[in-house]
Amino acid sequence: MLLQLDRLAETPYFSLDLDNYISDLRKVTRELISRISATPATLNEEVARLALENIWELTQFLTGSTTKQVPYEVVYAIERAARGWTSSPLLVTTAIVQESSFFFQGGQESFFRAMEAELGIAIKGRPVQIALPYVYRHKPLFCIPLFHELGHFVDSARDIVVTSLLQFPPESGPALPGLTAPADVASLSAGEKRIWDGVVKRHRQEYFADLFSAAYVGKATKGFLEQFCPDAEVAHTHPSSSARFALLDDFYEGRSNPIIDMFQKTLAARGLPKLEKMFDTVDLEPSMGNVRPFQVESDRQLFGLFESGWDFLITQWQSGSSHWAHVAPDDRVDVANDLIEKAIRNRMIREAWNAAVDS
Amino acid sequence: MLAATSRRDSPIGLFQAVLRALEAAPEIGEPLRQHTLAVLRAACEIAADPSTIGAHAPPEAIELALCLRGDALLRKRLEELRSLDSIPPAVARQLLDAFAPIAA
Repeated sequence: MLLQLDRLAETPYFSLDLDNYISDLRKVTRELISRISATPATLNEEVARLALENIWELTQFLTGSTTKQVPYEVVYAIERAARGWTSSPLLVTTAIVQESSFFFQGGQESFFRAMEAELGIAIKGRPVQIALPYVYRHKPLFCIPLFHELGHFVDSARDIVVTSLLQFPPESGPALPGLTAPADVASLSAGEKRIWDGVVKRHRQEYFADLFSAAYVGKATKGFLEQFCPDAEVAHTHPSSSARFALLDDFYEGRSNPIIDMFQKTLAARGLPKLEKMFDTVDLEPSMGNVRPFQVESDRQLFGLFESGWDFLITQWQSGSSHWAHVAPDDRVDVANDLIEKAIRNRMIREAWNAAVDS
Repeated sequence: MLAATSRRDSPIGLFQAVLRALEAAPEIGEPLRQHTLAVLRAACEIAADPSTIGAHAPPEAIELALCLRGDALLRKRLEELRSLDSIPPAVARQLLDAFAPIAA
């Protein structure tokens, strides 16, 4: 494992934070090995083994980022959205997968805290690995589910759903669509109740992630689901599509909803921001209508690109207007994604330039 | 988002290993022992009154509190930890039994 970390340390990352993070992991690994190698051992072997397994997984997050296929633009947008939700610097790494799923993986907070307590070594960064399908790596508008997955990561990192389960126990509500109502739970057997508890937890996780995504990419959250998952029935792992759409509609319209209210109270208890519109709607017609990238002036506009871009894409795909009418529908999908990607890249370049000039 | 789910390990896996170590052989350093005790005390407080969860509540304590929520007997037993400076092996065993269904 030390060899793996040494190899990673020699990789030319363009990030001082990642270098420091690898250095911290090496220190922890050396100390763990030293303690279990001592005679007698000064650390329980199982604890050390589990800690080393954690480190191994954390190194796996990094190896994917050494490839030359990092979708920098999407990572940039996700990293911006994550700010304000995590207490430690977030180190976003990527894995390009040959399947159609998106997911996030983070380290276990309990591992970081236990290592600091036992070894006195603080690992300052918090890695989070984004996995996205290979075919979408240069299609930011098809990476919209990553905002939903970021919601899962934030939930897991800040214990939002678990806190909600403690402060708003499933037996007292709010009721979740398609599941046994809290008032009827008393009639369930112990086994059924245990399953029901698990399903409530999973559904709350999905609802939270949907709302988180909607806060950053607005109606594109629902739009994406409508295209790729229009009529899924309720399942143990996910609410039905119709229940998700209804919740999203309430959020978009600012209507009172007990599930949304529950999460807002939970977020307040955890000292976290409220779920609300975090983006500005942008008018893409003058730029993208003329096949030019939009000039992004703020993070709020950066996030707004996804809702407005999705809307633009769907409109042009269904019925191309002006220049777009001369392009085949499937090519319109590629061009729209290219323009969004360029808009984000231009923002990144301008920001880096301004930072260099100002320093 | 659609149907695929991310891999989510038990957030208390390492914590369980520490408890097993306490039960088996005392090869845990004093700092980790005290850290574990502090987490358990915080978990008891949260389980007794979830409204005490604040911005800086330890994440493991919140997870553990959820495990303790339905086990009043264990919560009562853990109350003893307030006046102790270590975790008796019998209590560690009881905790591990209580967490078993969650980790499974």
